[in-house]
Amino acid sequence: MKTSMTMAALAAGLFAVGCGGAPAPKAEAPAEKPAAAPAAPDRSKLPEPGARTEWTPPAVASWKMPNGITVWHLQQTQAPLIALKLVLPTGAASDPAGKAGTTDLMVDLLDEGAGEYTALTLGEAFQRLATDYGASVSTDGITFSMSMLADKLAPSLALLSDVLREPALAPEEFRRRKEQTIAGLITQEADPQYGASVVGRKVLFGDGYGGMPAGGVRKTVEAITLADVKVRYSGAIKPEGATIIAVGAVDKATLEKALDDAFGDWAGKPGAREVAVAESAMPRAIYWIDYPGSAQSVVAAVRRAPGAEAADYFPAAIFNRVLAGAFTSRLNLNLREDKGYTYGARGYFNRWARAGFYMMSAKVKADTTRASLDEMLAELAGIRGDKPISQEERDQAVGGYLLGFPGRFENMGSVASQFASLVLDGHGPEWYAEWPGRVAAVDLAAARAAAQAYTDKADFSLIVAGDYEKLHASMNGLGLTIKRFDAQGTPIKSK
Amino acid sequence: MNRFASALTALLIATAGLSAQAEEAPVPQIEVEQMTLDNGLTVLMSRDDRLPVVAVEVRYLVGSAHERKGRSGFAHLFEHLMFQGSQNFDDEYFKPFEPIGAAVNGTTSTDRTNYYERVPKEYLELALWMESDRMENLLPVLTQEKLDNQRDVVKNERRQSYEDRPYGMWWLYIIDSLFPEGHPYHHAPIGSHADLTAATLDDVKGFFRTHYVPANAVVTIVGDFDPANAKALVQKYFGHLPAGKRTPDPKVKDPTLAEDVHRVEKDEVKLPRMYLAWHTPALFEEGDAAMDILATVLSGGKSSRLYQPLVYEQKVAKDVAAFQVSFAREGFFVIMATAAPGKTIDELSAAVDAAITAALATPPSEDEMTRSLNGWRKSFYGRAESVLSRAQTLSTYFHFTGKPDFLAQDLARYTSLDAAKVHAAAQTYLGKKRVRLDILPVEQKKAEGKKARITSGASGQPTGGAR
Repeated sequence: MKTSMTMAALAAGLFAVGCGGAPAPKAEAPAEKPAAAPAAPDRSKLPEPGARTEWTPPAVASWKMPNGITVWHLQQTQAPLIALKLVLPTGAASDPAGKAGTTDLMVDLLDEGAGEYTALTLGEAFQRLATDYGASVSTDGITFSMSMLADKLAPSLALLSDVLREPALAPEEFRRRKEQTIAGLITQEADPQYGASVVGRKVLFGDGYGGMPAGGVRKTVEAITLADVKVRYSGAIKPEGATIIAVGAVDKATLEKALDDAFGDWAGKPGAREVAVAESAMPRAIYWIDYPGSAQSVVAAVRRAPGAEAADYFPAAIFNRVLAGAFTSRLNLNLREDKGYTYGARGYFNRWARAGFYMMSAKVKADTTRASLDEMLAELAGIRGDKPISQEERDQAVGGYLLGFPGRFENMGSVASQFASLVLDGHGPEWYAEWPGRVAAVDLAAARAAAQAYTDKADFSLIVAGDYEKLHASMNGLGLTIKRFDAQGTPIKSK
Repeated sequence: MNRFASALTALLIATAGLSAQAEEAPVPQIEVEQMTLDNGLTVLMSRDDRLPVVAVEVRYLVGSAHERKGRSGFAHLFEHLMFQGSQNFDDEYFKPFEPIGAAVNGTTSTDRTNYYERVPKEYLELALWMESDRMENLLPVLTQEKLDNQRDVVKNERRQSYEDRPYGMWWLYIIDSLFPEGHPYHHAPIGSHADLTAATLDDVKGFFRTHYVPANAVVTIVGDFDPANAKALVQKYFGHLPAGKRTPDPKVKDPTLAEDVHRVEKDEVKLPRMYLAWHTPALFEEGDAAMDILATVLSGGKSSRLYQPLVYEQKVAKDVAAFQVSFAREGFFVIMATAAPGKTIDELSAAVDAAITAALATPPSEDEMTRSLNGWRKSFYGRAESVLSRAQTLSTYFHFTGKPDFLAQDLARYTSLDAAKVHAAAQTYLGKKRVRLDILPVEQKKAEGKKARITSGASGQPTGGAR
């Protein structure tokens, strides 16, 4: 009883915050010096919050360079460091047909020798500056990242310029990197989480947009030639449409000059094929990746969802936080804290530019595979039917996002990463200024509408990565056939 | 408006005169105030008002190294129970925190257990209320049902993080072979299934009463708070608790290996992998930092002394990594390498041994020292960037050195090294007896295992980790 009362008080406080209303009463600070035997504090209820400080996210300065690069700049001085990202607007979705992983392999090859540097001396040059260099490929873009000491901006950018504009793309380095990539994929295939993720995407998007991991799978990487890589390099690594994000201890004048010195004379426009989104997902079924002897199974329920432009982006986020997004979400409290089937169960919306999906998943003890799937389906049915999102749940989910907002701006590196995702999602730097208002605007009706939109059992396929021999019979009664795939997303013919 | 940039100038890290040249490096500073309550509770406070957030960390100076025989994994299981409710808030610990966007968690390692929350600054009192209620009033509402449930959760954590992860058991095998039976580091925080099963409610009660006491705890507050108010709140919520005693250090047996150990295990993997491990100095002991530098010289970057020959040139390995593991009472150095497809474990191990011999023949060059030191120096700036990482940095320093503001001295451990010292440490410690662990694909076990001399060793020993 006490618990629910204090929770209600908390939720009420939150609601005020969420609406930008008056701050809650400030807690009294006890001033008395304790005597020899201090008294126990009053614990009859949770303390009220103190006065709230209004906080708005830092404003990002933005400008465009003559060659078409957009710059986002946020000065932060908590440490003499700079986090820098360069985001290019074509990604794995532009890989050649049947050769998923081409963009990823191309990007891996860029720092294997460039300009006057060999693969070995280039790495040493970065180390001498203490600059961390990295690059990653996603469905919609390529992101280069550097973290550096603030006074090493210019030489770090000079190295990045070599990597982008003068990569050697040498045959022997290509062979070596390709072999290493394949070895890495062989290792990953042994991991049930990887197998489940590959097959989940395949089931939802087939051979179209989003159907493959950005790094490809073994058979598609084996098909890639150096010629493929060179074509992709010419199409992708161009300044027009690129975005540079710089967060850290650098002022605008210094940054502008450094970027101009490094990239001012770089020109060109990217060009790449755009693979279409497959018309529909594969038919509803249980898709199974066999991991003999596995002590646990990865279980997941997946369905398509709109991409980054989803009209109900915020209501859907609130719905998911209630159902499966938080530690205290319904799904995790059920599968972990009540049943003890798993170390953790979660759900999330994955949003790319042109498509997306919703997935709930958990790694569960093998003998609870069927029971865990039943509970997942029951949670979907509950939030859709007789246990709709309550006002309290809505308030707590909205409050969680809003009050956690400032904490997202603590680290230069994570701020830069968040901005890079905005670029990939097609948002401008003003996104975060509008964000709190749009979260707060999700009322109970909107959250419930999102719950209706994404919880129809008939839209979900189930994925299991686990011991087929031991467990497949336990799937009887779900009304779904089992279709077996390998960890590369290839169907296995039944004997 | 520009609160962000301006408040930051009030900073913790003194940056004046920054330069990446080794000798000129400025010393990062964190301002911290330390006080001790009458009951022995240590309180560390450090202000940073650039964001309206505050972090609270409560660290108990007990970990898996203090577990008794037959109860491996207990400190970590206990950590889970701390999230199951206390007398005045008998519900999920996360419940009041997730609606205010807090970051909440706990972790258990060999030598300590910590709990933390980063909350909006107006909720500092809530965090202290919740932490102090579970420090005082956990037991009245602790039930067999809660224990059974979290025992299942932890066993699933073990399966997920170790047993069912490719090569995931390596850590448990290595410490099992490196430290003798009865040594506090012989087992990992995750524990064994058998010992987790054996844990009882009486164990929980005894552990709580012995170790979860003010004299064995450190409360660290970092962020945007009023120091006078924070002190008063800590006194209000923790000041009345009986002191208890600081947990004594565990008895440490001499872990020296009498001879080389070669252990072979199998896993559901495709490529063979080998691990080598040697005993080295403990955290902050002479030689510990030198082994960190050595790790970069051996495997940091493509031109490093092991990566270049093994991965880049001979292509016998898919990857190679070297690192120093620094516990409070012991350290060890690890070199691991995965065979490239088509290469056998024997081909891999012969090449690795040859590469190590060549790597240790000469001291690091001046350039190798500079490159490694520059990276280490830069890493120190990140340790105080977020309120949570700063809180844990301060309490770690306090716990193991007695000085929460040890950051500058910690950095000096690295900057004071030269190539000769690194070379001497490398030859000393990597010249000792070692453990070699091979993890082979299941189907290769029979063929290759015969050749290996397999030492006895209780497999099925454990590990731990974050909740």
